[in-house]
Amino acid sequence: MPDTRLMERRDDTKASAPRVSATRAAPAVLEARGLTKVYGGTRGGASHTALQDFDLRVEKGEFLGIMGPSGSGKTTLLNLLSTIDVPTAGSVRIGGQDPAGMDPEELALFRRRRLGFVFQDFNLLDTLTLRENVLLPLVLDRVPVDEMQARLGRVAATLGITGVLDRMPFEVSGGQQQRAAIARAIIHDPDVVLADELTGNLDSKAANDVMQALRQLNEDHGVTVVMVTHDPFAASFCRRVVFIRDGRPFTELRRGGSRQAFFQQLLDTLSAMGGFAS
Amino acid sequence: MTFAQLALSNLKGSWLRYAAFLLSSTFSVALFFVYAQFLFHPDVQGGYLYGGQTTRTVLTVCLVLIAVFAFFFVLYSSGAFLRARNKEFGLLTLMGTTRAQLRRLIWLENTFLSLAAIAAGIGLGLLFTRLFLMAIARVLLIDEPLSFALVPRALLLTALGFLGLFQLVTLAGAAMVGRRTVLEMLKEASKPRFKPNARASLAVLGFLLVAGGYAVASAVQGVAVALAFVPVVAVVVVGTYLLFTQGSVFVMRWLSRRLSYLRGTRMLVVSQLVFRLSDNARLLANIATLSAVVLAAAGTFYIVSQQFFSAFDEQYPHALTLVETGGDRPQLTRARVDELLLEHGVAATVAADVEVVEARYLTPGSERPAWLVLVAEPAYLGWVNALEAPGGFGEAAWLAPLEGGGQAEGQAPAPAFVLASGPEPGAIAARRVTPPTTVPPYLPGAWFAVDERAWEAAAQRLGRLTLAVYDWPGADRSTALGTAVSMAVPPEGTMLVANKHATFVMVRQMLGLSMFAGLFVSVLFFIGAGSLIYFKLFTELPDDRRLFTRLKRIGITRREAGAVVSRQVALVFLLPFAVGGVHAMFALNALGSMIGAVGAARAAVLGYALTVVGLFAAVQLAFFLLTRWTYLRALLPRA
Repeated sequence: MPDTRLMERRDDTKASAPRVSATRAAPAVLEARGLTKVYGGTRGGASHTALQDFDLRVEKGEFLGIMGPSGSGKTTLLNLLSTIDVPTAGSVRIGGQDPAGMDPEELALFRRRRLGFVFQDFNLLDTLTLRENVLLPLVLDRVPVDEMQARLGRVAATLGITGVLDRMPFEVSGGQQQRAAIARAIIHDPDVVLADELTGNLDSKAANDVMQALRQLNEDHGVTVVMVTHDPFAASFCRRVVFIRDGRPFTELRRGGSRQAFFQQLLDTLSAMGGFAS
Repeated sequence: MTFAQLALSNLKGSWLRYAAFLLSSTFSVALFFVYAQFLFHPDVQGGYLYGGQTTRTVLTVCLVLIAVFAFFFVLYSSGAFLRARNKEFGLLTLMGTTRAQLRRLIWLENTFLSLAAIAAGIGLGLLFTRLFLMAIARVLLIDEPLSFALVPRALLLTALGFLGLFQLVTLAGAAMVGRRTVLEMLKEASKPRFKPNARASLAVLGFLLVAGGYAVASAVQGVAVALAFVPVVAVVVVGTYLLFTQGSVFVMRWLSRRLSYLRGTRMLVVSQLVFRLSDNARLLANIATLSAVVLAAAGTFYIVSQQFFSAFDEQYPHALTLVETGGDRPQLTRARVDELLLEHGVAATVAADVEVVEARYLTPGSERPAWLVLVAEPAYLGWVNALEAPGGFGEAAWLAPLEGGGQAEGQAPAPAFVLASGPEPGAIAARRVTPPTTVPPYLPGAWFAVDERAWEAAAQRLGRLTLAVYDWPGADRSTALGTAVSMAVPPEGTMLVANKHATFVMVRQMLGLSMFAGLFVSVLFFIGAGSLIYFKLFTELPDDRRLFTRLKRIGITRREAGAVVSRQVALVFLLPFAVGGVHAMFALNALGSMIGAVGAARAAVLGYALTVVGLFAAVQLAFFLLTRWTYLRALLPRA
């Protein structure tokens, strides 16, 4: 039930503060241990370590941001978490399952059923209407039509796209496209939603709308979100932000007070990290 | 990097796109070369074929047809090919490539390609020439295939002809490139996709036109078919065009409204097809129409020849019928036939003869005399018995002898009888009879049976001829004996002989040759049409790649992606041929009405039509499978 989850979340938030004991108790939906990714070097060429012995634990109902400068390894990390890429060493467990042992077909189904994706370029199919785009994961899994319509009605209302469902992607604004993409990412109740620079192609108003919608989903419906970004504004909506540099964890911030204060904290940390444009 | 190297690395870089062009060009060259090898073969030029010069003329016309077809095919596909690369050209222009350089690049690329296609085509042609010569020897019922030889004239014509053709097309293509602005070229690939619009009224009109055309084609009988031909074809062509451009959008829209649309990969297939069909509607409609024409032509041909062959045994119940005049004219004699049979160790299953009298007679009211053949009734009955063939008596008649009529040395024979309306003094009672076998053209005319005495009297006055009938097993196939008999007939004596074997060989050669030539043109057409669709598909490859990258990120299995692509490619590839096939079936059914085939005969006609359409469907299916395989490999690389 979303509402009970919502309550748990609130308790959790209150109990939070940077305490380790409280977080241990919540179940982990995503857990990465010793993740390492080395590119190249197979044919005697130069090798590059994009990610080095990275640990990450995401609990149910969390809203986690991953920040870092370009080339810090955050996209590599997201690709490994989203099973699109395979780690050189280490393991990922999502909802208690390790995708490493799956063949490509199982992996595709796993992604479709257990994960939700939101991309910088929206990743909507331009031959489908928004409605069809949002329904796609359910349609591919042959979910009964009644159930599909019910779920569509709920997520479309939450994301405020009910009025534009029958438009083609290029007929609506970027913010609407991204909200449709979010609707598609959550319509099948995934264990975790993985977002990659989701505000990168949006103007500031649309970015605000999209982030508000995502926060609402997280707070009111308990959707777990892991978001990679280098935009501190977008990251200020998260409740925890992990900073990554040169393929290793740099530091971690938790949001205590207002978003405004958190935004300032993020900016400070970024400048402390240095070498980070914007 | 020199310019030539750039052109070469372009070819290497996107070989899959070029491969289709190269392959189909190679095929065209190979087909043309094999055909030219045959036509210019020294034995063919020196009279190996029945019909001599006429046949060679027909074959040359077919060669020209093949060349014309190859020209249009290369022209169209190279145009489609260049259009697909607009974005690339735009990029090159943006980087400062001048128009002249761009043209030179295209010219270089295409020249490399055409040289490769000509070399490969001639190589492939050489491989298949021997096979072709063996096949054609079988079709033409010649025991000895033509000797395999490289015919310099064919080689030269093919190489130079195609070089000229490719150059012409390339120069035309190169001239077209660079006419548009950089922006237009760059934007080519990223136009927003609006749901295609279609007018319901036009879609319905298209459906009504095709249905109406079918209805008329099914209803008309006999001569009316010829009258209805042009209007029906025009109506169906227009209807097909409307169905493809307007109707397809409506069918897809209807499919997307059904609930089953929201199950599995169907939604992806249908939503993609809306665009794919409407983008290619005109090409597909053209291919459908042309396939219908080719299939109907091939079907007509096949039906006519099958009709001939199935009626052949009825028309020629016996292997050989000859007339012995008894004079000193050069002719095939019974003695010589007996000798030949003995020589070849063949036992004749039938060897029967009958004596007849030939004369001219007048029908009252007519100025011009006609020929008649008189046979004695007992002899006729004996003859029919010996042949075990249906003869039969017709209506009774009276023949009144004319004074002074009959044989006259050195001049045309005068009429010997007049057909009387009833018994009158001196008139002979006669009955019309049907000869139980094929009668040589030397003995034209109506057959009358009379009693023995009257026949003897006529024979005394007019002279007698012997008609001998032979039959032996397998006489219409290429046997040494059949050939020997044909050889034994003196050139001036052919009219005295009805030779089943020789007739069969002659007709078979004529039909076979035309069939072969027609098959060549048809195969070229289908390869051409298939290749065009192939090109169109590959121009959409980047769009599809983008789509499947997106789907893969969300999580689509390889099997599902494969199914989505396969179904689309199948529809785009096979739909025009299916429509063309249905058109052709209706056309051939109308042909059946025209030649008055009913019941079993009509079923046979439709069977032949199905054979032809099915054969081409199989070829097209194979082409489709090949295309699908290549396309899937290009789209979803690696298992």
